[in-house]
Amino acid sequence: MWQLYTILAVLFMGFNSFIVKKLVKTLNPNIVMFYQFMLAAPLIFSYLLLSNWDFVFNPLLIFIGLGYFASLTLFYTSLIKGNLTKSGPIWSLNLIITAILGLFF
Amino acid sequence: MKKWLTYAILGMMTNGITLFFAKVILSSSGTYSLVFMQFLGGFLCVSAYIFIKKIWKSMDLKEILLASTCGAFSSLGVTFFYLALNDTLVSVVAPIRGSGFLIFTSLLGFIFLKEKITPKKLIGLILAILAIIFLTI
Repeated sequence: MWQLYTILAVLFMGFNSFIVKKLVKTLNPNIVMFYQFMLAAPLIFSYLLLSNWDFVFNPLLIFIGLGYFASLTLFYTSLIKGNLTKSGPIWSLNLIITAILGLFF
Repeated sequence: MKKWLTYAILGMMTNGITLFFAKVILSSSGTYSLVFMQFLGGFLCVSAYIFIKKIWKSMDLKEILLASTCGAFSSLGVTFFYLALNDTLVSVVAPIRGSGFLIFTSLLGFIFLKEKITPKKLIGLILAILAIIFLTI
C-alpha cells in the first residue's frame, strides 16, 4: 500500500510544482503559498473534524510548520529564475538528507 | 553560484531536515494531525512574513483558483507521503518519492513548459528510474 501512497504523493506534488512554476512568473512566491496554505489547512481540518480526530500535540510540530514554510519559500523562489527541470531535481535531492538522517537516527 | 541554484539547494536541505523530523513524530502525533499542523504552521509563518515585508498583492480569480489547486494538491501529496512513511522506512520511501518527483516534474517541464531536453538530463532521468527499480526490488 505504501507504494500506491508514494506514487500518489509524487503525482500531486509534481503537479503542484508545475502550477507554482507558472504562477511565480508574475506573483511573489509567498503570495502563492498564502493561498495554497489558506485552502490546505481548512481542508485537512474539515477532514479531521469529520473523522473524530484526536489531537496529540508535540512541540516539534511547530518546527515542522516553520521548516515547511522555509523550504517552500526557497524552492518557489528558485523557480522564478530557474527551470522546473533543474530546480525540481535539485529540490528532490532532499531525499538524501532525510534518508541519511533516517539511517543514523 | 546563481541565485536560483542557491535557493534550490537551501530549500532542499531545509525540506530534508523537516521531513526527517516529520518521520520522528509521525508515530506519536498521527498522519493527519501532522499534515494539519504543517500547513497551519506554514500559513501562520507566511502570513507573518507577508505582513512584515508588506508584499501583499491581490490576485485575479484565475490565479486564486490555481493557487488554491496548489493547496489541494500539496496537502494531498504530503498526506499520501506521510501515509507511506507510516508503513515503511523513511530510507526507502524518501528516495523513491524524490526520484519520482524528479522524473515527473522533468516530464512536465519538457512537455508543457517547453524546457530543453539535453543528453545530460536524459541520462539523469534514466538513472533516477534505475534508482527506483533498485530500491523497490
